[in-house]
Amino acid sequence: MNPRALSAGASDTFVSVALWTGTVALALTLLLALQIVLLRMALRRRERRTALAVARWRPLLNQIIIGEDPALPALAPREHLPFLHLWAHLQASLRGEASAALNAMACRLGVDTLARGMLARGARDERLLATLVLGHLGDRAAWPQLLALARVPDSALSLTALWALVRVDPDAAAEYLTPLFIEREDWALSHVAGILQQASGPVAAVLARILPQLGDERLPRALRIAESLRVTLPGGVLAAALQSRSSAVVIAALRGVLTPETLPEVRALLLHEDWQVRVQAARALGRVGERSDAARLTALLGDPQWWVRYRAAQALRELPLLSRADLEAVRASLQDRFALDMLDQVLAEEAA
Amino acid sequence: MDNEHASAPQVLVVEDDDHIAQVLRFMLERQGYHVVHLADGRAAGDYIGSAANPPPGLVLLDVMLPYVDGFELVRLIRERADWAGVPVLMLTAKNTERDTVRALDAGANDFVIKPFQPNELLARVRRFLKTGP
Repeated sequence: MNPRALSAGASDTFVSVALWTGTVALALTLLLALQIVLLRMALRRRERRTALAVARWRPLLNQIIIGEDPALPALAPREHLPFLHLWAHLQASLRGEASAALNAMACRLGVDTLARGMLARGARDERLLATLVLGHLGDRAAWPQLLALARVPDSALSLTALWALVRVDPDAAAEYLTPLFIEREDWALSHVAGILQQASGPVAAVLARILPQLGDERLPRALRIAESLRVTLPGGVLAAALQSRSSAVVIAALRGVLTPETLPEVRALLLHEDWQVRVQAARALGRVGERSDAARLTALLGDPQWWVRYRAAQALRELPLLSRADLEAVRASLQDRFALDMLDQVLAEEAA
Repeated sequence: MDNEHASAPQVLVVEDDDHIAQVLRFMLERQGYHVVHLADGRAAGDYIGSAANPPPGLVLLDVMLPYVDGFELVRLIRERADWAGVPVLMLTAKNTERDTVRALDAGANDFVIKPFQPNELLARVRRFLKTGP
C-alpha cells in the first residue's frame, strides 16, 4: 500500500475522532449547563414557595403562640414542607402554653396524619422532619412507625426516632431505650443523655432494676448514663457497684454518688490501689462528705499522684460546713510541702 | 405612627434567629411596645455605640450571637453612661447555668431560659417597663 495514502487515511481517522470527541464534549457541556440552569430554577421556585408559605402562615402561628384563635385556612400541599419546617422550629424554641397551642393548631390542620404519611412514604429528609413533628406532637398513633424507624442503620434517623419515642411515651420509651443505650457504646453519651432527659424518672427506675443483672463490661456505661441524667440510684445498687473488683465500674459508680447513703463505701475507696479510683473517691467525698471527712482528705493531700492531691484539695474546699477558718487551720497543720502547695493553688483558684 | 413610637416604650431585640425574632417582635408589638430588631452582635454593638441612638426602655438580648456575644454587648451597654440603667433581659439556653451566672455577673438584670414561655417573657418585660402599656 502507498505510504502517503496510508498516512492520509490515518490522518482522516484522527480528525474524525477529534471532531466527534469535540462534539460529544460540547453536547455534555451544554447538558451540564442546562442541568445547572434547571436546578437553579427549581431552587428559586422552592425558595419562592417557602417565602410565600412563611408569609401566609407566620402571622397565624404568631397569633397562636400568644394565645389568640385565628381562623385557619387549609394547608395546601405545596405548603406542607415549609410549614412543617417553621412549625417544628418554633416548637423547639417554645414551651408551655405556646407549645400546647401549636400542637392543637397542627391537629386542626391534620398535620399528625400528614406526618405519619410522610414517615411511611417520604424521602429521607421528609421522614426526618415528620419524626420531629410527631415527637413534638407526642403522637401515640405513630409509636409503631417510630419504633421501626429507631432500628434503621441510618443513625440520624434512628436517633431522631428515639428522641420522638421519648416525647410520645416516656415510660414505654425508657423500658425500650435504656438497655439499647447501654448496649450501643458507639452513641455519644451526651447525645444519649439529651434524648433521655425528658424520661429521666422512668430511666432511673429501669436502671435500678437492671443494674444488678449487668456484667462488668456493661456496668460502666449504665452508670455513666445514670450520672449524665443526674439520677439518684438506690443506695444498695450503688454500694454493690462501689464494691466491684473492676476499677472501671468503681470509677463510674463514684461519679454517680450524689447522696451520703454510700459514704462508708466512698471513704473506703480513698485508699484504693488504683489512683484513678482515689481521684473519684476524693471528688465524691467533696460532694457528699461530712465535716469529719476533712481529716481523710487532708491525708490524701500527701498522695504520690498529683491529680489525687488536686482533687482532695478541691474536695476540702467544697466540703459542706467547712469554713474558710477551718481550711486555714488545715493549711497551718500541713507539714508536707507538696500538700501545702496544692492547697494554696486550689485556694488561689477560688480567689481568682 | 412616629408619634405612637415616640410614646411607646422601645424594646431593642438582639436575636439572630429570624423566626424567633419575628415571634418576639409580634408579641411585643401586640403589647404596644416599639421594637427595634438587630440580627447580630456587630450590628448591635454599632447601634449601642452610636451617640445618635437614645437608650431604649429595655434590651432583650440573646447570648449566642454572630460576631459579638451577648455578654460583650451587656458590657458595652453598661459602659455607655446614658444606657447604664437600661434593663437587660437575656435569653439563655437550657442547661447552661454557667451562662446564666455569667450574664448576671456581666450586668444583665434578668434572664429567660430557651425554650421559653412567651407569657413568662412578657411578664418580665412588663415588670421592667412599668411605665409601659
